[in-house]
Amino acid sequence: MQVAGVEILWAVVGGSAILLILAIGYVVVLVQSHRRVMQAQQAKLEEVRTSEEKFRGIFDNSLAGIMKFSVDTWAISDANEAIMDLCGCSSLEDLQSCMSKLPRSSLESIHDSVTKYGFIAEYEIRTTRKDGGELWMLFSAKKMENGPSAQAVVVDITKRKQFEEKIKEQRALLDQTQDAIMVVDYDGTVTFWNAGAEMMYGWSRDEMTGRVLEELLYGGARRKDFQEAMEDIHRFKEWNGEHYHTRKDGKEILVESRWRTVAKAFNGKLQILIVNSDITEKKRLESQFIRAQKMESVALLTGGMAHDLQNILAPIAMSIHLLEPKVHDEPGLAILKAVGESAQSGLDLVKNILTYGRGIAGERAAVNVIHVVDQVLSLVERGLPESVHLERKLSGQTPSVLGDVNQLKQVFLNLCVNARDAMPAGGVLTVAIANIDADEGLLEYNPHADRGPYVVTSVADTGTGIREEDVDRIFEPFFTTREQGSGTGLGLSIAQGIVKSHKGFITVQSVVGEGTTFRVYLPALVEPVS
Amino acid sequence: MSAILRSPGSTKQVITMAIPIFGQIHLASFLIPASAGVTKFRTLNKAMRILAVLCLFACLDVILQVLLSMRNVKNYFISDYYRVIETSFLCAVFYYSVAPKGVRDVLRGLGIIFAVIWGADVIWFNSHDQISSGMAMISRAFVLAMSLIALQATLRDERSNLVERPIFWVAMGAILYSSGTLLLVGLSNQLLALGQSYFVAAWHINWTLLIIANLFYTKGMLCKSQA
Repeated sequence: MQVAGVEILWAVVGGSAILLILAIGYVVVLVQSHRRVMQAQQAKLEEVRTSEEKFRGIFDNSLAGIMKFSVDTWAISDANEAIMDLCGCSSLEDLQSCMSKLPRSSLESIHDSVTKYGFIAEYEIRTTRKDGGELWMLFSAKKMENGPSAQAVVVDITKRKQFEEKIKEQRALLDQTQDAIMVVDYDGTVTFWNAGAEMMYGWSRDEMTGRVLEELLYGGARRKDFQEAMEDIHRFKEWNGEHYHTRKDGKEILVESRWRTVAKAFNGKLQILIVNSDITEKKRLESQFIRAQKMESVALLTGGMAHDLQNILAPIAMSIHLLEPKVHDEPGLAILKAVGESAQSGLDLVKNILTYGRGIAGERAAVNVIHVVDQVLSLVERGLPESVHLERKLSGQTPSVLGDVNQLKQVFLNLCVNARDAMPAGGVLTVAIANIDADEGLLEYNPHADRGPYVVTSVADTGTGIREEDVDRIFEPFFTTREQGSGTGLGLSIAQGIVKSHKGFITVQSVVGEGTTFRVYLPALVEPVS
Repeated sequence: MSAILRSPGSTKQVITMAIPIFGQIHLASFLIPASAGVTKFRTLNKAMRILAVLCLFACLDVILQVLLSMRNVKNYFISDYYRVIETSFLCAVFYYSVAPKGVRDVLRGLGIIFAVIWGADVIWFNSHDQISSGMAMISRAFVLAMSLIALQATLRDERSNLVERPIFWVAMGAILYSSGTLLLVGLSNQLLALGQSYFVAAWHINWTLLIIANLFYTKGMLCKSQA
């Protein structure tokens, strides 16, 4: 080989080698760079894997059930042990079957919410476990970013729901009672209000919850009662007593109230349990009973006194007749006449008192009340001033009553005369007869009366009316609203005595300025009389 | 064994010489990627299928050249036509192996430019009486450029391990072969002018790198990941 040839050869080989080395070097640099990138990526992947493992651990060990499902088809692609246990399932297929039993409405709600808003939160579903047991689940789900899948978190709230059901049942029981049961905070804010309270006060549960009891039930001066009771509850932890409360319609009722402090279950905060019983009616009946007893005592007393007076006055009246033939001068005869009239007047008064005191037995026979009233009205009509118009409503068939005609005439006459006197400026006197069957409501106010048909005679005037405070006293003997000396105050007492002796009763209804209506209830005989 | 030595460079005369044992090994090495391509053809992706076809063409090229030289027929035209096939096919292999549209456009552009240059060479400059060493060098430069572009694009894709990707091996083979033979084919006329012994000595570089390239192509086609 020539020297020049060798040099060219080496130049070619060297040049090729340099190019090759450059190319390889470039490739090595590229590959190294790529390796670094790959290593970084590997580290990142490792980090993701670690993170995934961590979350997988959370997923697997979570006490809440977690599953991944398709929003459209409800196909479950992954689920943890907790949800399997919750549904009593051992495989994804079982769980799929269990989920397919969810109510259609629930499935639709979940689908709609997740599709529309991307999530659904704390949706309560009632379903059954694989073994048929009841299962309440609290279902929350969020749509995943990629695809139609969603991840759901399911919590078993069966025990909570059962507890709530029990509370509902207990609340329903509380609602069964007629007593008003309420729970208030120490500042008086109502937190519980049962159905009994709704009925008693007219305020609904929604209206009362969160409101202050004092503001609604204790009007005006009554607030002091509330504050006193609160002071007692602070000191003694309980209070019992009677309060006047204002209903929603403004009517006042009297309640027997029992207050106790109770501790709230979840935080031990003190509250007040209040149980109120409406005793308005009870109190009214009590006072009616006391009044009846009082009147009975008065009747006994006056009866005894009247009997003694009769024994005193009778000899005087009889002596007048014996003395008359022996007295011949005019002044003497006049004195005797005056004494005789006074004695007779005294005897009449005594007779009335006796009638009130024990009633007059008289002779009982079947009496047609229409005839009796008709006769009385014929008599009354003559004595009525022109300004008073008499209206009769006596048509129709009415059963007979067992009674004394004369005594009944006295009752109706008394009532008619009172009505006339109550209309000094004129008006309408209406007398009507009707037949009724005494119901519970009516007998409640007249506990001595029997059930059954009654003939009701009402005597109504459009006169001055009776003041409320006088209404309760008008049947008391010697009570009169007339001027001194113009009435004995025995008329209504005697009328009530007569009616009572006929096993009936009288009611009165009066509005000052509008008039008064007396109703005489007499027990009817079974066979009607035309 | 004697045969006409196919040179990537231009030769003005037919050189009949005995092929050394390493040259024979290099000839045999063409069968490796060709047989791998045929046997694995169904599992290959589009790019590797194109490479498999190219390998078959390479075998055909070698066979034709040997046969023609044995009959003392000039075989330069075969090399001229094979060159455009090889460059175009490699361009297609890289084109279908990379994802970025910009890179694909560049590869396509290079392919078109090469085709135009080759066409001009065939029409106006090449008489087919001699091998065009200039065109051979341009071909190597284009393949080298395309390989580097494809490799760089592949490295940017961080989805999977590099050695598991077919394009990496193909690009590596092409880079090694093109860079190592760029100067060799450019100066092949000068080497022949020095004498046969000089040429054969230098031509060992070509054989070595071809064997390596064929092995790399084979590895590319045998990669499991054909995505």
